[in-house]
Amino acid sequence: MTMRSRPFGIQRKIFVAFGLFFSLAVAGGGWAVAQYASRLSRSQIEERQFHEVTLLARSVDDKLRSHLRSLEAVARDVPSRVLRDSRFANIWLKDRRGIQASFDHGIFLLGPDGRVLAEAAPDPMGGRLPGHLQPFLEAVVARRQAGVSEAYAPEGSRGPAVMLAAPFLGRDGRVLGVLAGSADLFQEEVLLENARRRQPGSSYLQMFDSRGRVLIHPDPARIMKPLERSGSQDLFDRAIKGFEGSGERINAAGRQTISSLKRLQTTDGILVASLSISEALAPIERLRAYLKVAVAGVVALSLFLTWLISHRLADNLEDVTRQIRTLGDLPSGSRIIRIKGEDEVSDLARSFNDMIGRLEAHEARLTLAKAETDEELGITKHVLNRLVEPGLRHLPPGFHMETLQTQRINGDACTYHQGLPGIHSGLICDATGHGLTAGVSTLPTVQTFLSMAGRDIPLETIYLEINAKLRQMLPSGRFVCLLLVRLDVRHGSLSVLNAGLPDASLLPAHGPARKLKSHNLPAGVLDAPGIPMVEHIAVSEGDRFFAFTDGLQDLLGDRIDALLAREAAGAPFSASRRSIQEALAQGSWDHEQQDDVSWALWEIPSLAPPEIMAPARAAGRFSGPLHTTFSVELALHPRQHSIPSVLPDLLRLVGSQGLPAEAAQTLAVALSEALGNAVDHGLLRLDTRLKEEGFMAYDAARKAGLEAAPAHPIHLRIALHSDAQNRIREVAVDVEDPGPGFDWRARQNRDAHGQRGRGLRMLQSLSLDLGFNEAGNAIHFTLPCG
Amino acid sequence: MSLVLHQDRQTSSLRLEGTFTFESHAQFRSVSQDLLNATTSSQISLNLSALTYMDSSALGMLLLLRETAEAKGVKILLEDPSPVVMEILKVVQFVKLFEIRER
Repeated sequence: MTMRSRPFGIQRKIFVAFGLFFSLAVAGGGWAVAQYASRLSRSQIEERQFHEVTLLARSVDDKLRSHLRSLEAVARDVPSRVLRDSRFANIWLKDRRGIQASFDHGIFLLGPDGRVLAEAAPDPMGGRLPGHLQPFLEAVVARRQAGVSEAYAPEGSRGPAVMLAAPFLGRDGRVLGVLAGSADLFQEEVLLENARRRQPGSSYLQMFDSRGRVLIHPDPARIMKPLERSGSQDLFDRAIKGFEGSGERINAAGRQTISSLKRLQTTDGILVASLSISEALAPIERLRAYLKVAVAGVVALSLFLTWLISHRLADNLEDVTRQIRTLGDLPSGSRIIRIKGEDEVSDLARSFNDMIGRLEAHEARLTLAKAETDEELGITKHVLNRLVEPGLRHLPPGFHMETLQTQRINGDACTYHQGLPGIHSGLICDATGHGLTAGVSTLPTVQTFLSMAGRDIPLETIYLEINAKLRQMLPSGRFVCLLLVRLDVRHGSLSVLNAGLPDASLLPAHGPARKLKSHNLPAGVLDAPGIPMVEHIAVSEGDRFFAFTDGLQDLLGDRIDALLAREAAGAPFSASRRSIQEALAQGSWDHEQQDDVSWALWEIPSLAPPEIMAPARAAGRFSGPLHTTFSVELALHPRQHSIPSVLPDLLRLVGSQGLPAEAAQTLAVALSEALGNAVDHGLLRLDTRLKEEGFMAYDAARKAGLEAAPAHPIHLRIALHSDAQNRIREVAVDVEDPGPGFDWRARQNRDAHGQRGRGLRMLQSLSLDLGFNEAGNAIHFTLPCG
Repeated sequence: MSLVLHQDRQTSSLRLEGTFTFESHAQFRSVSQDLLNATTSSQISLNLSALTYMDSSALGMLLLLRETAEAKGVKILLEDPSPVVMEILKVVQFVKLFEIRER
């Protein structure tokens, strides 16, 4: 047995299904956790950074406001003398050390028009306020309120600065001048201290104003320069328009950052804290890496557990499946599935075992029944073959008949009977059904044929007798298709009665073939099948007769016509027979096939008168047509009835049919002689040479023989043939003994005056014709009458 | 073989398809017997147009049906046999036993 590989068994299916489910669930869960953590972390970073930049902006604003308040407080005490005395003004200003520390680029006393009245600065202005600060000064003078300027770049400074200015007023409320101080935005106490403390690592702080000028930046080269547009500046543009908050942007270096923006309230400046996203999310990335490892581990563990569970679940089923797969290799009786555990699979296996048990019991019964059937079939075959074979053994040259039986017998049979010299009878039959059913139909058919064929009984009578027997024996629906054929070489006549077999063919040596169709119902169909129809055809030497059952038709189909065509072409008989046999072999006939095949091929022999001991006498023989007006058949058992005791009754019976007394006398002599020969030589096999020792010895041997003789009968048939006026013209007698026969041809040339053969010579002299069958155990003679 | 049964008040018919052999005997006997028991018609027609082959056992079954049907006064009509089947019916001379209607 070859094991079929099952790449996708139930265990693997469970493993793959659950393994996939768990793997996807774990991987999906891990991904979701990582995404959630990433979003949460980003959101928290944005909130925290914005909060810090807000605190920083507020701190810067607070410091600038504080400086402005200090400046205002000092401005309220500016003496008017500073307007008139420049030297005094400088001394007074330099004495204001309390505020000088807050202003990195110095403090200034300015006139309302921007003229420098006094200054205490590391880099003096040179007598007048720079032009770009003039609008700021004018605004302070006009509002008469302190203020902070936009950022600007003082001369010699490394960073931006803002100017804080507070007006001082005269008694009339007029602005007399302005006290101003310049504070460097980069100075520690303003911004960087806070920025550096609050923004650790690679984060950085910058500031720009609403005109897009960079005021503070880690890169000094970019300070007081326009914002670079190489990165994503959407967030900055939104901030210039008023947005405050956090968002993502790509900076000028191409790095993705989280930026938080807050506008200063005291001056035009937007404070920005930026943090690289990669740095911000570094913990999340680490979390992702841990998660990946964890997911891989959990997936591996879940796959292992799935495999373990699926193996456990499918183990019993696989075990049962494996056992079932190999069950066919086990001998009957040991086909049991071993059951493990108690689950549905065990229940299934138990049911399977019960079923196998029942099947095996059925199988055993079937095997027994088949053995019996085979034996019965064998007996049927044997009986059938015993019945038909003796006839087939006597097939003369030029005659072939055979049946190819299937294993179960399909009701085909064929047999042959040679009656009187020159009379050949044949039967081909095909019964319905098969096996014994067919056998019980075929056997009586063959038996009836054999018992009647040798006695010159018309084919119609044989058919009707077979039909009657089958009707008597068989149930409805069973019948026998048959073909009866008789060749009378003496008269060159072929008679065919086809009852349900395929068309037989007569293939003349010269001329077209003739189909011999079925004109009769198969035997056994009806109680009264009507008048049988027999076709009588004149035949010549070399003509051939071919008949077959439907098994051959099924097997060869259209090739039958080709065979018949070859026959018509006049191939030698042996070649024809061989070609049919080869065609059957090529048709793959075997014992297992559906139907038996029976067929017959006869070649009409020479129509010269058969070898008979007494040629038909023309003289005294009635020349007109004759018909049988009476016939009688008897089976004589010499042990019970001696010939002399039977003969008178027999002659009285025939005499009652109008046989003239003279003819009856001749018949008595002839019968006495013929029946005596049948008893002495056929039944008892007495040697004629005993007569040479005297009739006493012969008689003693005869009596002893009769006592020990087997109970085989001697068949006798007497037929009266009459003319059209029903006047008896001929008496035909057939006598057949159960013996082996004798070589009557050798007896032909014996000495006419010897002791032996006198009886035969006497019969010859009485008869119009006389002859024997081939075996020499049946004699036929015709006596004249009138 | 497959059998298609058709029955109404006027007609009862059975259509035989495929090959009709010994193997079909249980099926044919059951169906034809049911049809015979149920019919109120005086005739049952067997349509043989789709029958490709019938063996001698099948012929026997037809004889049985004919016998049973006649006992009930029902006639069996063989309708439209295929050429092969018609040839078989002719060979066994069933044309003498059954009314055969060819189209």
